[in-house]
Amino acid sequence: MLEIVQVTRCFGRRTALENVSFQAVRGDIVGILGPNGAGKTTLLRLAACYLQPTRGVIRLNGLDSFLQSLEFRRRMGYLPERCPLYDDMTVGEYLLYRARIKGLPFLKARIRARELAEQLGLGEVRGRIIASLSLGCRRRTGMADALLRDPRLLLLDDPIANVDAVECERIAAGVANAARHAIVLVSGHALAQLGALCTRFLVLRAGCVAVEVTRADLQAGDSGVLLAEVAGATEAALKRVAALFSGGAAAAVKLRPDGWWQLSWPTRQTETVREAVATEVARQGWRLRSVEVVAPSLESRLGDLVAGRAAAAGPDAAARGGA
Amino acid sequence: MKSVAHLILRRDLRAALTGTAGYGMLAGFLALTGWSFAELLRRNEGGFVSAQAIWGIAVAPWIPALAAAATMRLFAEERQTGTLETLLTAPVRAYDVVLGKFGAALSLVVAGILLALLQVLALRRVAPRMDGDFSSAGMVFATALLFLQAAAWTAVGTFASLLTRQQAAAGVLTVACIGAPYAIYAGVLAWMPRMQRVFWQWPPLADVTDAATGLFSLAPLVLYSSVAWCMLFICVRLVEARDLQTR
Repeated sequence: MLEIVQVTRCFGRRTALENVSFQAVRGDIVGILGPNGAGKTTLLRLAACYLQPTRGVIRLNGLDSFLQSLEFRRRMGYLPERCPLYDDMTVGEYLLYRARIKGLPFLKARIRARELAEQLGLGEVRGRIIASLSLGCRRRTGMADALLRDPRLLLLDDPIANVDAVECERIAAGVANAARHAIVLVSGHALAQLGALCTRFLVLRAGCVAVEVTRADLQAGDSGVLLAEVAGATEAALKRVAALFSGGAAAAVKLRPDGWWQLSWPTRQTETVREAVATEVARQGWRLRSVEVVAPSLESRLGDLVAGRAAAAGPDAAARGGA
Repeated sequence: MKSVAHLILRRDLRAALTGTAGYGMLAGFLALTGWSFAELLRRNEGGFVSAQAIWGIAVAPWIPALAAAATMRLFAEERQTGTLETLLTAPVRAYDVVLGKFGAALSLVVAGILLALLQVLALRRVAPRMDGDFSSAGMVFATALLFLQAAAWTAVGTFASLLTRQQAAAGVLTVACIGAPYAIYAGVLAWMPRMQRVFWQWPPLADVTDAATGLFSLAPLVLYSSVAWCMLFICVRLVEARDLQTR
């Protein structure tokens, strides 16, 4: 279990993180989101024992990150944001060196390094100098390094920044695999494929936890947008229909270039509102091309959260964040 | 099982010798010490100073420069590239990191001194007339003292490398730290010429001269090892503080 209790970190007079608290258990993948300067990297560096908290405590299975730092670090794997590696070494040499540094005996280190290289699709580049690797390969090498000791806590700082979709999938697969026996904290502005893996999200803003929400909550507090395309009606008549079914939500009626009218308004109901609109259009004798409720993707909901549009992300999100 | 310090030492030594920089550094050191030795021999022709003392005096002033070159990349480069973050978040002790890095740099400096020694030994074969001027015991003592100085200056360089992200700045800082006492010494002598009776030679050079002539006292041993341990202790505390990010 990871416990982060009232953690504050100051750099001189600037407070980078203030009273951040949360807990996570094995199997949790916590997505840490927030704009630049929100404190995501600082939080991960604190959890990685690279920085010490100015106030507060970080514990992993009862081990204090400050007082029992060595034991804490034995159980933790960390991939920093810039994914720093020794450019003069080959992938195989680097992983072997890191495994030895992390205390694995030579033979075990060799086997583990080889195993992880294969697992993360680095088998073909094991003999290549790190300086010649693509960014995606570097990230996977860094990830393999973080996984060398089967960590109980895996910290990934923006692991998918500037990598293509294929690399993103590979990294996501690695995270999913690691999360079977570890707590994973993964940070980023947008988590793309990793967002779908996260069980919880923590949104930081100006060093504080602005929102804490589970994925289930985020999806349960679902809201979508009704989109209907109608012909043969007047704008005023359509506005009356929209006012009738939108329940007071801001509705929009606009004429498309192909001569069809488009009606749209935010709604929480899906089937009932679709049926009601279709019935009304038929009753008025208008033509209906399509009527659907489009739900925003998880990614766009997360984007809303990061941008501070908490209400759009779910009814409970803002309340949890405030608490 | 190999210790973490040993693993770090091997990696850093390998990194230093992967490109041409490490070899260039040693070649430059050999060129400078060789030139100094030849020049001092020429000036001392018919004098009373032994050849091994001249060799020691020729090598000693260049050791701070070699130590600065060997240590400037240790922590500065790792901080610049960010690899220090991965190193310090691995389960390693601060003293393993400092000792490993210090050991790698000291190995380079010691290699430089040994190569300079080989240079002189080779010269003895080429110019057998010089043989009479050399005392093997004096050479051993002079070399031992140079090793002690190398340890102290390398420790100062390791400390300087921890203070900055810029390798060049770390090198300049090392030379400045070691050169500052010399500047004070030269200033005192200029201000009070009578002090020349007490400090007739810059103390680190006087120590080498004494060792080469068989006057080996505990004072330099205590001085240089104290400097080395003190600097390494500060380095360990700085790494333990884990606040390098803010500096």
